[in-house]
Amino acid sequence: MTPMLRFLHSFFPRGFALILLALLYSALILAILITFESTEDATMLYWNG
Amino acid sequence: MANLALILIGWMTAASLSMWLLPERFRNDYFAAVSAIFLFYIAPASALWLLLGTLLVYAYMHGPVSHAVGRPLLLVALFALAFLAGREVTSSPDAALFAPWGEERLIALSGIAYYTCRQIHLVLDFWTGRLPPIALRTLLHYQFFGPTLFVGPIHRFQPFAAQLPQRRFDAERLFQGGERVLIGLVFAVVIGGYAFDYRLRALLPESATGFFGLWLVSALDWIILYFRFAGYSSVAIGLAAMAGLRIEENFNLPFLARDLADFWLRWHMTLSQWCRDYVFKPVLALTRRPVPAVLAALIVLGLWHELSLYYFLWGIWQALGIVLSRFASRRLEAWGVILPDNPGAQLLRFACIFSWLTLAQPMIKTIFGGAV
Repeated sequence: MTPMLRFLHSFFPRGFALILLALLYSALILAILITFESTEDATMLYWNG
Repeated sequence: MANLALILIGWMTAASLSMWLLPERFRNDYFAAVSAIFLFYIAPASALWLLLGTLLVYAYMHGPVSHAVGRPLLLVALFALAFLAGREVTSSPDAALFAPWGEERLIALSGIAYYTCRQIHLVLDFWTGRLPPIALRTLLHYQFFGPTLFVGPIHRFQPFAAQLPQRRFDAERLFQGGERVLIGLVFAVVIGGYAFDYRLRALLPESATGFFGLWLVSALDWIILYFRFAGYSSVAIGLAAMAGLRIEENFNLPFLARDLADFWLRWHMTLSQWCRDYVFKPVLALTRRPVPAVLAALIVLGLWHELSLYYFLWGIWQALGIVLSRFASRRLEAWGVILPDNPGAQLLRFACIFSWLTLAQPMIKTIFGGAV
């Protein structure tokens, strides 16, 4: 069980927590992809040399 | 350019997942080989230097036994000089020669800041007897460990090597690692990158050049730095967990530190621990005085970021802060003043630490002007 699932499961039943987690993951992935696209962020590859 | 960061994460995720399909005895070799291929693709000059450096460390460990300081010192100097020169090459237009991808020349010697520290750690730990001679395969597994190649943490050899033979598939750890990567990316890219660096920085006035303007820029830089670096460290730790290994944490809620010394033990912990072990302790042993040792450690910490007068002075500023905060705590203790553990006192501690950190840039630039 991941920390986020454990957190959601402390408020909701397991099945519902899993659905919420899937929605949350999708939203986060979408936010990351949109941000990558708009800022052309690639600092990870040359972070401080 | 943007896609390369995602390709790195995709490549490492694919490497982790495919590794578990292989027989156990091939897994470590496979993961190191896949990491090396990626580094050779992204930054061939960096990959070649890392390979050569690993071979030099191997040759030193398996050469004639000697306790003289000459050879380890020579290797440390070579690695440190290559790091400093490599960074100059990386930031010059000629770097395009080393990584023929136009705009992506910045990544010509990608990762050198981190693997140089690992190489020096291997040499000095072997010299002081804390490490036995290491097999070349294991050295390559350690040095070509993909998740930590680009953004650290500067993980140590001993805990890493102890886990290699016990590397087992663990579904829970795999999912926890994946979630850590996701949260790390949100921290680094969405909050640090987009919200603070892209949006909030645009709100700063163009003419933010006076003392207050420099302070504002400095304060924003520290906040961005925290989200970006803690986020990238989480990505690396998450990718390592997906590959079945636990590596050292790099941040431990640094803004909840008790004082500046405590802050530096919670911020980029693997680098500050490296400075403690390989700079602070040797200087302390030589001089028997903590002030020069703190000064040397913080100057090295500063110069690790960039070889410049600014970062030299920045190191002195941080060392001065640590010495002053220790002096102040002792005086307060002597007067019987003890700060309680409540939110108000914590806010006061945070204000003191954050002020000292953010004042470095405006103070140095105001005092030394165009010289830095």
